[in-house]
Amino acid sequence: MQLSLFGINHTSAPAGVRDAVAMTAEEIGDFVGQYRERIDAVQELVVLSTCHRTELYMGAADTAAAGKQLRDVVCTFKGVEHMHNGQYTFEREGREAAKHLFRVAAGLDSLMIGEDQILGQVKDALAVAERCGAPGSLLTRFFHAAVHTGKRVRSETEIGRGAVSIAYAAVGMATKVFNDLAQHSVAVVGAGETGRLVGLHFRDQGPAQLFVLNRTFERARQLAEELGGRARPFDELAATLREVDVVVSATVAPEPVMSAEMLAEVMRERGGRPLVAIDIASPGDIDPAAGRLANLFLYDLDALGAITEQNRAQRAKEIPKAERIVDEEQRRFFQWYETLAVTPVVRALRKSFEEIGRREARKHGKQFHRTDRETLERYTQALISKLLHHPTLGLKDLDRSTPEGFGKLAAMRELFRLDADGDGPGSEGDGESQ
Amino acid sequence: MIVLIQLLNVLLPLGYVLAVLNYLVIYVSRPEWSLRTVTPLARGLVAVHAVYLLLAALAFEHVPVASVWEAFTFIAFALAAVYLILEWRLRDPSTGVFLLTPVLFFQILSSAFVTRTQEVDPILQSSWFGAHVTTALLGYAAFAIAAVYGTLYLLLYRELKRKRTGLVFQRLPNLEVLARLNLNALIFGWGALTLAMLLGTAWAIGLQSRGELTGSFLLDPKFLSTAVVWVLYGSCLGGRYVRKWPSRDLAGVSLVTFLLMVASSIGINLFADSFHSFG
Repeated sequence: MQLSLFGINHTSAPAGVRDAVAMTAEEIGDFVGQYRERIDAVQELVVLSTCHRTELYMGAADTAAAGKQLRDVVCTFKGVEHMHNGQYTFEREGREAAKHLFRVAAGLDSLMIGEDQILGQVKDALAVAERCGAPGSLLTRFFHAAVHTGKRVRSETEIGRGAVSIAYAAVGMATKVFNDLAQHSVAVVGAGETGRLVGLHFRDQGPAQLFVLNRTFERARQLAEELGGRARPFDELAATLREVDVVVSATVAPEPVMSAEMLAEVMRERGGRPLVAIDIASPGDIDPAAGRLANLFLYDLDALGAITEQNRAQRAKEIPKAERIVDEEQRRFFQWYETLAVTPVVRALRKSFEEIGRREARKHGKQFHRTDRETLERYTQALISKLLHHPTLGLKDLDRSTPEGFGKLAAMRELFRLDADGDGPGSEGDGESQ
Repeated sequence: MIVLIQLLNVLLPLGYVLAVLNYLVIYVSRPEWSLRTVTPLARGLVAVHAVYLLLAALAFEHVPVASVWEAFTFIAFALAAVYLILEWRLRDPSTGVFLLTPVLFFQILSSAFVTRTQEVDPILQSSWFGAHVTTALLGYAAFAIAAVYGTLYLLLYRELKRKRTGLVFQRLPNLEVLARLNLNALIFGWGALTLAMLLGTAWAIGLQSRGELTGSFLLDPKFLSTAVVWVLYGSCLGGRYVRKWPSRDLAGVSLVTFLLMVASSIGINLFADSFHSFG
């Protein structure tokens, strides 16, 4: 059975085209259920669909036929035409397919290098496929290896460190001042889209209280409802600033709404309690001179932009290290994959039994007279040969290109722990596969 | 036992050199091997240090704080042990290099100059002495920790004000945690010093009543300087709780007070004649 993939992603197609073939978890279930019979050349299938990619990973004996069938049914299922001629799509086979998914899981193929979300999406894709019974031994192992790769890359490199979006950078600066935002309160000033986006990121931190202030109170109320906070009239701004620990300002006012004098007064009344002020308005809402006040940490769009730029550059430096991990894991996966042929499994099984036989003969040999030890060894060998006779014949009848044959070979390796010498990825993958 | 003590006296500074290097590697680049090994190795090292102190106490029949050099290894041990507790609480070894560097400094000085003998002033074999000096040294170790975390607070504060996200930003815990560590170390240190002064006073009064101590200990330079330190640190805590000093001010004041304390200790040891000096 061969590994292959075809798909569409942010490097091969524009957003509109990608959106047309994207599938929700329910749709993937429907797709597999409805079209299983028409994709009989596809023996195993996992669909990874996010806003940036829809990729179909398959295990098939004839990958060309399987790819064609799959392409046809996707077009029918989603009612699109443009995938037939290969426009916007890409294909990978074998090692290239493996490398692709491992890079995806590592965040190396994402628009935002090193982002975390994709790793969860890879896990979810396998879970959805498992619910439909679509993956077998090959793809299950393959996706577990991909998740393992993603985790390794994130723990052994700094590719995921540092915020690369303004909203994350804003939260990052606040959490470098305060230990736990659940103990602190946040105010969002301005109920427009920018305030909403950054407000959503702060809401996810579960602040103790969240206030929304806007010149039009009704809009403040609407956004407060969405953010799970409370609306306050705009003229309570100074009082709110005395109370909260983080203020995010994103109004469309042409002049600063928080002057340095006002903030100086606020800081005096706060008695030295730090205040993080995030100014994401353009033009700015907070007088830059306020940045000089003690215990006030002011970050405007320029500062946050510079921080994200710096983090992007930092992440880029980690790419070679991450690529090395991807290559390592790809090699390990294919070591395992290549041992799943009949001859290597038979050989490994025999070797494992003989090793056990030798060990036990050594252990108990001293209880026998020297002349009997040779007999004991011959007896052990004969016993192993007899024990392995039928399993060996059964293994030789297996067809690796069928899911059953492939599955049985994988099961033999797992049951008899034929990876125990550490050659295969078995020992590493166990944690993932449970 | 003596040979083992001498061997550990050589091995401990070497062990702390390796520990500081390991924590430095973690601060700079956080490789996986270093993150895996640093804490178990540091814990092992501190356990060996505890064994060394215990052996010294048993072999020389006094709490091993009878001279400045003996006291230094005790301070090193106390600093390292307290740091490991903090690391365990924070689950982050990033600040280890800052705490273990003074540990290494104290241990090198102690290992280089310590001479151990059973023939110490009989007064130093008293259990009062052990309790008094041990609590005082624990207090000083806590003040050193407060000074380190105060410095780290000021460093991170400056980086945040300057909008820089370099190593200091990436590796140090947030300001709130640094402020808490600074304050908690000050509270512990002040409590320990208070206890040490009470024990010392009670002991001195007892000695005076038996005629074993002549003159007023209240005028002793070391007592006076410790009292000033006690008042200064007490004022820090008063400033924090009564005057609501911001964490930044407390960090700065705790650092300055620590430097004053170190300077006065050196000055008194070098120039003043104190009954606290023992042969």
